[in-house]
Amino acid sequence: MNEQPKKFKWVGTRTIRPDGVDKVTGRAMYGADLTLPGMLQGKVVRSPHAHAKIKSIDTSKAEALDGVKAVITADDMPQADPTPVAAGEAMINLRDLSDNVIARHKVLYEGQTVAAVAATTSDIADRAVALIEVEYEVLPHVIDVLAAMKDDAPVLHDDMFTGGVKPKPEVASNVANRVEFTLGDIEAGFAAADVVIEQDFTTEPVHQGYIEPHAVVADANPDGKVDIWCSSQGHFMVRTFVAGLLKIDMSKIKVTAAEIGGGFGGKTTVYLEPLAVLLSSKSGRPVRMVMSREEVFRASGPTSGAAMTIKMGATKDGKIVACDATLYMQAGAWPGSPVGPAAMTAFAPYDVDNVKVVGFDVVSNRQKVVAYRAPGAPISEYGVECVVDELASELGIDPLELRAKNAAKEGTQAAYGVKFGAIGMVETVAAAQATEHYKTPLGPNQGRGVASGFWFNIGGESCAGIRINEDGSVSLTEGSPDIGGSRASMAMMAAETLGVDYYKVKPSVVDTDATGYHFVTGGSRVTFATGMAVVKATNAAIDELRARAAKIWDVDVEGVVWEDGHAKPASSNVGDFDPMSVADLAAMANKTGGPISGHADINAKGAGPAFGTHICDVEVDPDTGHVTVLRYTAVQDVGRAIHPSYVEGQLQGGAAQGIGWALNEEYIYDENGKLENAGFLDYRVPVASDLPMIDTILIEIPNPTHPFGVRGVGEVPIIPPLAAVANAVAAATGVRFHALPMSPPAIVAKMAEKG
Amino acid sequence: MVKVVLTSGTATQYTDGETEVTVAAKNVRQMVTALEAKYPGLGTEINQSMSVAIDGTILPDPFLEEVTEESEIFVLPKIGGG
Amino acid sequence: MAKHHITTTINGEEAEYLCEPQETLLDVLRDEVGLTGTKEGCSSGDCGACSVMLDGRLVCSCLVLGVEAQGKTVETIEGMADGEVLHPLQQKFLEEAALQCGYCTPGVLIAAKALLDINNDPTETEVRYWLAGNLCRCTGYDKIIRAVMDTAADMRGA
Repeated sequence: MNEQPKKFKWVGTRTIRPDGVDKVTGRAMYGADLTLPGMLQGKVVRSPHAHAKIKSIDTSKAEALDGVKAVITADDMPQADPTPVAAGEAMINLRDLSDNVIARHKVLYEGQTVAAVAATTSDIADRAVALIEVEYEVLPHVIDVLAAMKDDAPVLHDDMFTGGVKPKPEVASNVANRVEFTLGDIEAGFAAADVVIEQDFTTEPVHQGYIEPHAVVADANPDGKVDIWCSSQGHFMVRTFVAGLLKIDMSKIKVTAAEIGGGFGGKTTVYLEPLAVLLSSKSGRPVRMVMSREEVFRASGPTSGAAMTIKMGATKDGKIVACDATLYMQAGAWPGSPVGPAAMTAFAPYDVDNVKVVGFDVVSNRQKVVAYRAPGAPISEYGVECVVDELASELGIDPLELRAKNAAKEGTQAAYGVKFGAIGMVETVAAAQATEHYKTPLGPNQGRGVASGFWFNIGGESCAGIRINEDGSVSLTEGSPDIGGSRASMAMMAAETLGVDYYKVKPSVVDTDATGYHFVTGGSRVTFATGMAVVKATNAAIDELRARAAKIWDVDVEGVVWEDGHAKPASSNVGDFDPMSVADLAAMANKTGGPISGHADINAKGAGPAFGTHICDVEVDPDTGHVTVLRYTAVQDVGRAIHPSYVEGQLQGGAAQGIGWALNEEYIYDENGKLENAGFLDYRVPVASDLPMIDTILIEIPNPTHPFGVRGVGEVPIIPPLAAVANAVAAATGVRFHALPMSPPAIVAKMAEKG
Repeated sequence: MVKVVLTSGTATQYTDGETEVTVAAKNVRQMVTALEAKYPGLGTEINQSMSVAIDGTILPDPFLEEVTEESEIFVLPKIGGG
Repeated sequence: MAKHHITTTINGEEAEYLCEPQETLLDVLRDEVGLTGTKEGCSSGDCGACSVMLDGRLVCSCLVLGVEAQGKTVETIEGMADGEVLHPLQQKFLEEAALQCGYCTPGVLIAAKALLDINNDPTETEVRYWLAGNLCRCTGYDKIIRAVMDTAADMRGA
């Protein structure tokens, strides 16, 4: 790992996180940890059918049960407008969101909410749920993405006509949208290729798998004010959606971000929050709702499963000359798969003149997908990175060498149009090539795979406030829920900029009444965008501190500089004054104009694109089909690691999730469209004994638009593992697997086929 | 005149498949207005669901950014993230 | 339904609560006793977020009934530190960033302490298999395993 340049005192060090003690002692308050006086327990009635018309709902027996204080159905929700609203990964339609929160006329997947109850105890609420009688007319359903595209497939929405095609279709279908990206002339490109590889791949939907189930406490006051406490990746997102769905003024809604027990994109939307508000206002009491793990699997997440065809051509000296991809991606019950970003990222690690990517956003009778770490990119880049491996093998070129030869660099035009600035794809490949890991010999039934990955990273709205307290300590407020140590990086950037002790800065993630709008914690944006706001706010406070010193010294503010946490005369011409610390200036604040603060409210632009390259060694047991990951190295250009431990943690955690995606995780449905593995026993995420240590190499090519060079790190590390593992399994077995997950039964079946 | 590259089908459905279009504009606001006038629906689509990249920087909420004949302008789907 | 009156010892102090016969120890700890540091991740014994010690044995509190704690001792995350002094595992988890979201952390710490109480020199494999019942989705386990082994080394040296 690169050591930090000496010029930083805090940035690049491994500080103790400000929320750490709370989190190792059980004090930290997560979504389900708040209890209010008189609080009721809310529960949800869910559809047992994959696709059905709701003919009637009879709630009378439930309402008559002692202890039941409120029952709601879609009739209690205002009719939502079909307005596009920014969600985690794309724009979503409020009407679709409303139907996902509580079904109005039709259920589109097993587990969709049709009613909800609030009662004095969980037990009574469960009994009330069982007493609600819903009459359904069951309709034919479709689960698989390719099956959903067939002409005779059951159509989910009779008013949905494929967008992005001309002429506009006259018949409704399950294909919501078609996207296409082109660069150059792929026919000419393939004509110039000496080697062309074309293969089909499939991936299954996988769940984000956060350990904390969705949880909310809502308290609606008789005067129309609503307080919401919940676990989410954006309490402003919750406010936007609740206000839009329930038609309440935003000023009346206060959302407090509980500590969040993981999200990975899955908590960038609402499920329970509007229901809890409705139940609270109907009962006049606070209501807590918490999903069970089974509900999390059935009715939240996951990301898309997909089918795809990838075709790539190269000249015999290893120059990739043409790339073609077709992607079919599951959106779940309503449009909105991450097919756009999947199409844009597919070939982005490479400098290729001729590219065409076509993608389809396809609905089917499963829950609506929601963002999952670099939404879409792991899927498309999985297929591409497998084909790059096949090209390398066909050309007799080392797979990292082939990647190095074709790597995108500054000035490369990406297939989605943008010309890259300073990026680190070349450096991640070079660093991977230089590892001892890459050179270590392997044993029998073992194989090594490599793969690269790209994600844009994003900016967006963030705000920050810096208040200098009377004793010179610093209170820092911002509104990005801290999902993995961001309070620490915010305080470090503030301390570095101001020149004070990191442990004198106390960061707080404050509620929606106490700061301006923040986009969600997602897209690897918080350290970049909220960090930018923090630095800007700190600089505003420094300007004020300089102005105060100028008043005390009776000089012009231009005569005061800020260095190492102190106001100093800019030169000896200004006068002979002793430097004044933050505490000195704070002590004089009342005499020089009152409390000292700095604020910034920004929409951050210029997020730095990021690349990673991973190396994976596996051993495949030829009898059981079990794949053991023996060794793993993740290399990534992180721009600047503010807190290297938490950056390494992002790489390690992303790699682990990608390994789970590659080897075990999948949604399994029965013939009636019902999910069969809605629990951690059967939906198997990696456990400690499944994994080796995950070595990390942080490359730091600063992002020029961020004051410390931050790019954002959370998304990229989940992208390369799918193909790195697949390429390693191919190397170990001599067989290319075209479907994920490569679970033991799948491996045994394919090995038997090979004989 | 500025040249605007439409990379996705979401945008080209309004231009009869044309992927490069030119309009007179000095900033993004004018550009979007001009695109709407020339290709009804496209400006609205950009405002609602698309980002604009200018000289390599992706802007999810572009409005007042200057554009010139030399600018490289791409209209892209919006990107979020997990 | 009549509630049961249970007398037990929680984190070294005598405690009493009333609970329904079907209530889990997890629900009792969180809802009746007010100790919310023990987390619910699955209610089926698969994730380990609700790990506590019951009479010195590591259990998933979602698989134990509240009434079963009668006359026994329960240790939860709230009792792990000695006043203001963190347990060496807690301190090492902070120093080595062995948590991200922190939700699995109480259960992981309880389970790790149970391991170190019986084995002060575990191998990496032993730590990995001991903690295989504690799911963490954030860290990829690397820093958790290292923190447990480094704590063991420190405690042996002390």
